[in-house]
Amino acid sequence: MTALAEQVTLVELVDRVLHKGVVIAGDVTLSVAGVDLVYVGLRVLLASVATLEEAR
Amino acid sequence: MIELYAFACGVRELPEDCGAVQLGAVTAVVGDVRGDAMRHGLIVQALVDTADAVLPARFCERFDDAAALAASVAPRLRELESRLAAVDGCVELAVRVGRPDRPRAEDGGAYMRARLREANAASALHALLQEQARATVVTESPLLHDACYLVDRCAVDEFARTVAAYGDAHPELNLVCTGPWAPASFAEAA
Repeated sequence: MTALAEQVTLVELVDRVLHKGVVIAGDVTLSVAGVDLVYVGLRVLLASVATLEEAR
Repeated sequence: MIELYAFACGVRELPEDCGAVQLGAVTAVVGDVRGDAMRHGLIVQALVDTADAVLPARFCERFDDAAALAASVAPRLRELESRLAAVDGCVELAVRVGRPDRPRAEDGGAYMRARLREANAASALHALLQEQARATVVTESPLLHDACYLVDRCAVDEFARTVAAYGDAHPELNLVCTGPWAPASFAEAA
């Protein structure tokens, strides 16, 4: 596998876990040093480059 | 707190540092909360080789403990069993066709004819691949074609050969096939 192909595969690997798969809970609390900062729907929080491009 | 990586059936070996929560016939593969998307992806991919059926969980599915996970999943357990049965023995292959770099068209008509030829070539590829897949998910995208195919493990080589042969016959198309992946595109579609 070429370096570029490997990079593409790694990006797709991460993209797939962010955008696909079974959703049971779907929400996450962001916290820093044990203090909850933001509570938002996961799908709002995480976006791929493609999603950001669509939003532009 | 635990992180959910995937639901699976017929698990022969758990990925490193993972545990299992048994929910009837379904195994929930879990681990400590790491918040690492790449690790999540690699664990799911490891399961492709060590379980009969895998449905990845989306990143950041977290629960207080095994009991909380079981309680959240309980209302959807039958549905999960059915989805796992639908992907049993299968993996996912992603096929994308990018728009070719064509020279500037002489006029509007030539441009439209070139676009039509490209669209037809992508449609013909899709029709060919659909015949070799148990199910298909087509994604709307700026590409000529962007789809995921649920393919029996024993048919993966033939599928890859079909894609390669089509690419050879249509060198003008930017054709990319990746996988085999855990069938994440079919997790919510069964």
